[in-house]
Amino acid sequence: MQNTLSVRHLSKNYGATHALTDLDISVKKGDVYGILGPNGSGKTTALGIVLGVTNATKGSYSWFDQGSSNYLRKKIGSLLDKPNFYPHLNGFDNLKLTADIKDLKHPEINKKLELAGIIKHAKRKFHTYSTGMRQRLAIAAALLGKPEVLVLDEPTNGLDPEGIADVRELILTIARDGITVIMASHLLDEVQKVCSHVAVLKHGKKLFEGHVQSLLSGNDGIEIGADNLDQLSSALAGYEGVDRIDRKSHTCLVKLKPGYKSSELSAFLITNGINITHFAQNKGNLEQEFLHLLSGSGD
Amino acid sequence: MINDIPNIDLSLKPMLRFPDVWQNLTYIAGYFKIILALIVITSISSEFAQGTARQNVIDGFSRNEWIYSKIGLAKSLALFSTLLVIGIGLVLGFSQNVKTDFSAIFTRLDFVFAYFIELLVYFIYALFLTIALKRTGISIIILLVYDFILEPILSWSLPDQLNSFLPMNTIDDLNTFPFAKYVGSEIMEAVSFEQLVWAIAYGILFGILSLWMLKRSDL
Ligand SMILES: Nc1ncnc2c1ncn2[C@@H]1O[C@H](COP(=O)(O)OP(=O)(O)OP(=O)(O)O)[C@@H](O)[C@H]1O
Ligand SMILES: [Mg+2]
Repeated sequence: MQNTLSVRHLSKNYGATHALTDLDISVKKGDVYGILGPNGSGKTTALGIVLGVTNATKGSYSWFDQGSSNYLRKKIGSLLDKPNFYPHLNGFDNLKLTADIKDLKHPEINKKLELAGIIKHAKRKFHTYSTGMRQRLAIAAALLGKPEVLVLDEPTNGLDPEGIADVRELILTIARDGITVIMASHLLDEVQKVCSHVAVLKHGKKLFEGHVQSLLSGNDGIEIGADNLDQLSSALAGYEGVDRIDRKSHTCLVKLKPGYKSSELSAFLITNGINITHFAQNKGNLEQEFLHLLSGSGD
Repeated sequence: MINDIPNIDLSLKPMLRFPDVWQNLTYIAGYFKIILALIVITSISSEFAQGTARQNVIDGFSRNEWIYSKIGLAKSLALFSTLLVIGIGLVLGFSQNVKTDFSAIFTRLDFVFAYFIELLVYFIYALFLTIALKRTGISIIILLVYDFILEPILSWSLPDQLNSFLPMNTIDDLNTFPFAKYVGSEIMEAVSFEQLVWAIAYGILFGILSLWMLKRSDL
């Protein structure tokens, strides 16, 4: 399948700060690709490099298997970090400038302003916009023309709950049309709701890349409560089928190794004299996985 | 109305006649280029501050194209200012109520062309400073300090053959103090072609340096 973006051995140092270290990712056509990581993990740095504004210290990237020329960027709709517009031009005129730079024949400015929910403020000057309006204008700008791929850095930043829902819905609609989306976020649930693929970054290093599903699959944990949590956890530690134990305040979260059943675990605990007060299948979520990945990688 | 200023100093009159007016007027107007350079500096540094330079590149400009578009801005500003000077020159020249030889109007237009080059090169120099320093305040300070302090000191300490090659001297020498003529001293009769070539070479140099710096920097 055609690569939309491939990144090889990308590194970026700011003085002594290693913002990005040896990053490899590949995004295929049609993916909704999430780049997930805590603040300062290098998401914006990585996107800045592939969008031509940040110079890499090492490594390379290629769009559509055609390299990194500026012409290729005209086919990308992007929103990096924060909305950047001319403060004394109105929203509409700002998008006209964007469309000119991108050589768009049919930018459909009004339609995109409408889609992003900012059409009623289109004639106001940009410097009078609120944070959310700015973000919406930037989203409208990213949608101009028919981009082959959308690159969105924290697209729901500064939006109200309704705006967040709108934008997520919009991204899903766009993805359903087969447009590739690359999205950076530190919000796990956003990535889980929207993305098909995910790369997890920490301190500029990639900890995981793959299907969101494969990150989650087999991770249906079990939440167990007992009269005596210390007893419970030591019993759990003695069970060979246990892959991982997260001790919470009132329960233990347990992940089993493949091939082990929860019924076998409950039988094991009962025979070991544990008084179970609570035993529930816990649908895996990205948050647990994410926190687990981050805690495992050291600081 | 310029026509009916009866108490104008008589000694000014010959200075405003064609063709002298071109040389004299562009010489005076040359001093105002600093104000226009401030426009160049503020507009370009705000592109960095507002992130629009960054956005232009994200949207598909190459860094080269971005610089060309800013040199285009410098060119428009220089052209606008040159047309303004031509307009003022014509009004002043025709208001002298002397019988004007038609061809005199069009002689010494080389000074007008040199004025355009002087502005353009100076604006590209301002562009270069702004790209190097990114901030409005510091760019303006460096522009003024170099113009009025640093280059005069350099110029004073260097041998004569060298100091006319300093960038500001090169630009300024396109049109040297013309008014000595009216007290009988010798002045430049025409713009020196060689001087023009040097000035243009500086313009190209500052353009290339701007590009080189922009390529190396993150936006
Ligand atoms: N211009 C810069 N100069 C110096 N250091 C920088 C610069 N930009 C980023 N960094 C550093 O690089 C690292 C990665 O920053 P980056 O902005 O890519 O993180 P991020 O994942 O986008 O974070 P966030 O979620 O807060 O947006 C951080 O340590 C940051 O301090
Ligand atoms: Mg960021």
